[in-house]
Amino acid sequence: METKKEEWVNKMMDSADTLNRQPVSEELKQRLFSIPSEITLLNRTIPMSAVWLAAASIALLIAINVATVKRVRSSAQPHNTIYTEYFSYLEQL
Amino acid sequence: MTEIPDIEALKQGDERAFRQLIDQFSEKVFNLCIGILQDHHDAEDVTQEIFTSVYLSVSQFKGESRLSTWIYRISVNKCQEHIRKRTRKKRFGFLTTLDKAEISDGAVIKANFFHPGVALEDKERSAILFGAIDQLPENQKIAFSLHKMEGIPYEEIAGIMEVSLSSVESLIFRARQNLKKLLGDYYEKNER
Repeated sequence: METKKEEWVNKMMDSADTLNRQPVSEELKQRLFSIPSEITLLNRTIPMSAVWLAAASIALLIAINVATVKRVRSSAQPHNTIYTEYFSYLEQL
Repeated sequence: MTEIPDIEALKQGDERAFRQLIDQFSEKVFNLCIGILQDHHDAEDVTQEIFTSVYLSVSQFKGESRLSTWIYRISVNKCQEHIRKRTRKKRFGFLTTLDKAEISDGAVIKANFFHPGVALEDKERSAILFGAIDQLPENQKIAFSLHKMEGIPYEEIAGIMEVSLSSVESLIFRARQNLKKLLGDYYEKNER
């Protein structure tokens, strides 16, 4: 025979069966209906061509920087040459 | 009667087809969100996120599963994401883990969510049940909510959660056992 506790627990478990579906509020429905226009608006605000242009500019800037650094490094005198030239007067002492 | 949305038209970004999709699925998705998140406002926000995601990714829908399964899968993922964000906010140090596999010992039911779809005379009772459901591990909670509240069959739940049928059976069985234990403990402390 079912104890009082089991009876109570089963009653609780069954309470989910009496749930009624909640209707979607009109406000939420409007929010959902406006999704396509909001996404289109977002796409229109920032056109893809502008995004690509910005990306290309950044890539070009990085490339120029890398190329400049490489050129400067290859043309620069080695560090110890400058050092020995600067302290060459010491050799005379 | 709601029309069945034309998937090809949806993929082309057709607004009319998207409206049909909202008419057909918004209530189901919203109610699932209420059941899992146990917060009316969060459920509204996550429902909006879900349909935005559906709109943006419908072109990737290959038709390997039913459209409803695919939408429910997105819904479950978004709800999980939201729960994790909420848990991270509440978390202090390492006291709470994100994915608990079993209910923690001494878990206490907080009966503070009153489901709007419950009759007035059942409000208190369902608040206790929802408090207990909230203590379940995430996967058990989701499987139980999909089956018990949405009435989705085990086979479709397996598709939604991307697990085997036997895993779904096991998850729901363990959810029931855990709920009985939690409710039993609650009875001992409060009702006797």
